[in-house]
Amino acid sequence: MNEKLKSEYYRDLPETLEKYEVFEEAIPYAAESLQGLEEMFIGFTMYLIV
Amino acid sequence: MELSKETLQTNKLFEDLYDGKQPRRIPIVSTADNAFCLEYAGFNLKTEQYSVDENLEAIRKATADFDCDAVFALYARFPHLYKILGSTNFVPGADGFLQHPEVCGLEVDEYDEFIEDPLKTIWDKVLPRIHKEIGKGGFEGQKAVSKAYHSFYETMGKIGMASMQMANELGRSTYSFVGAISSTPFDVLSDQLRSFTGISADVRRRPEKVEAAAAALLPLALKAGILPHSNHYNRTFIPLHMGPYLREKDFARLYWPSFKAYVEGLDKAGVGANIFVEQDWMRYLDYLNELPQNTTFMFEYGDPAVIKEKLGTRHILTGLYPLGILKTHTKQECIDQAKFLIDKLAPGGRYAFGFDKCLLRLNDVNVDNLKAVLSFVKEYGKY
Amino acid sequence: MLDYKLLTQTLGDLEEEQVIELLKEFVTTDPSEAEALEAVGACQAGMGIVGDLFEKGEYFVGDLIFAGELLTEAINVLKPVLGAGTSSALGTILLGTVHGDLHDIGKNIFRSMSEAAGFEVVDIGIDVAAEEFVAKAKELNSQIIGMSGVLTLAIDSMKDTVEALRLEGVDSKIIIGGNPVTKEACDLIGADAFTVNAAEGVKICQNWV
Repeated sequence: MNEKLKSEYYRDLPETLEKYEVFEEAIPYAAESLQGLEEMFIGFTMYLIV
Repeated sequence: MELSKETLQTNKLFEDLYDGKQPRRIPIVSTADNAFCLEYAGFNLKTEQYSVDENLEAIRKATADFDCDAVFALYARFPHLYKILGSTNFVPGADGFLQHPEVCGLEVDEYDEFIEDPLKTIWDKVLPRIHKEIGKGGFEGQKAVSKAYHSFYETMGKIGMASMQMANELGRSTYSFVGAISSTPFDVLSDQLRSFTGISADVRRRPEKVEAAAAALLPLALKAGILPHSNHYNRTFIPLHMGPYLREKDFARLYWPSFKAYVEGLDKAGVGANIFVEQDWMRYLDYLNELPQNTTFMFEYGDPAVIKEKLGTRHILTGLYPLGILKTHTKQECIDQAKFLIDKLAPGGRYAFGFDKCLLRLNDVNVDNLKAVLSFVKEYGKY
Repeated sequence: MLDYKLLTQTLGDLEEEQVIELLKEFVTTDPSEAEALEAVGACQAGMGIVGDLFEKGEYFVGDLIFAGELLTEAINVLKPVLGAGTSSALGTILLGTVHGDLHDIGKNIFRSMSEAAGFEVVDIGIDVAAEEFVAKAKELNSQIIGMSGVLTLAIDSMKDTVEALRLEGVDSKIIIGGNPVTKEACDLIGADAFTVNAAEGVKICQNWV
């Protein structure tokens, strides 16, 4: 069973960096502040339907 | 935060329990609702339940007064959040208590788009139906989502912080029985997306869609079930719903594969599962036994001897104590029931004392009986 | 000519396609109203089989819910040939979820099963105040009143409601159903019967009329 999330409404870390035009070298600084929110948004979404 | 000696000792009980070792005594878990704590503390559900601080004060009082090994309440439903969103899935009744009316967020002809992209369909179709403020769209809808997102994590943060503090001050464990909460993919699909009525027809009319939709929900369920603090001891709580309402062949095809993959996915991420086995699962014990080792099962129904024999050497058991008798029976009878269960389930470890249901309201029990049973278990439960 | 026994059996087996096919074919033969009523009776008998299989543990709650859907669908197919004739109901049941409780799945299962058994059911919804039960009971003068609830608080609400009904002189038989009801709760509430099983509840009601 596929455990990877694919959605028009979700971006993984590389996609997020690309979208915001952030250098790959910035991962240690951008991972939490940019991608963390993206992940938290999924948790929030699921809370609204369970 | 530096943990107190008492809390470290209580944490050790759960570490042993979840590692499959015999702890020095039987740990006591609690799954009381914050509504119980509010009423116990003398607050009114119609008013104080909207304040996170009053909820936490009530939980602290209950945690101090009831001799459990963890923070006493499960505070997972946020009345203020549901108001911000104009929610129809959780609505306060006349006395303020939050209830869950049946909702149908996904129409039958939307299965294909849902299977293709569940997250998009949830935001485009499901949430605007279930939460009226989101459904307004435009600025009002955006504002409602922003407020709700902020409120959700602010509330979670406050609860997390306060729980750590009160646990540490009161010598309770800082591990939560409900570190995160997330349902199985099939239950997510059936409860609020298709509704119990809808899914019961879908299971017969379009099983292939149900199967694909449950599989499509798996990655979302896993993301929701694994939080930054989740681990082997801070476990994810999974309340099970629809399994017992299905025929076994439907269960095997439609419910089980994504359920198993979900618990295995948590396990692969190092996260333990505390599963609330609601209703009668006796015909599915062999399936449950296949889940990753040291999964906790909180049983609502069933013969303790059979459950212990089938699952008790590989997994961890709790529940089964009939909460209802705390209201209707004498103190001695309540204690005798605890002794009966402990004698059956505790030998060899892998057992925590717990009730068969979540304790929802003050009126559900005689508080003196509850206190007497918890004190008894703490004494009698020494190995 | 419709094979009524086959219809009963296929409905009991919850074979949706076959049931609907049988009925559609039947409707094209331009049956008399009496024949159409017999077909309805055959469907109801099929629901009886569903109830029995549920009690035996061969069917589960999901099957009961689906059976209710299937029966509604079957009656809809028959509607054009049923005419406006007044089929006499077995009796009337006033049904609702008691105040403070917003759950309705159990109530709805009981409703479709008792309708299938030939009762006329007046469903007054969820979170129904005691006064509302009283007013409706007086208006309908139904033989039976069914009260449903899922939360433990429903026990207290059922007690209030039964007291209010009796105080106002309503002497209908009262059956309570739902997760929290037990023999003890039933005695405390003062209801005539209790059940946690919709199929059994329908049987109890059948014995009352």
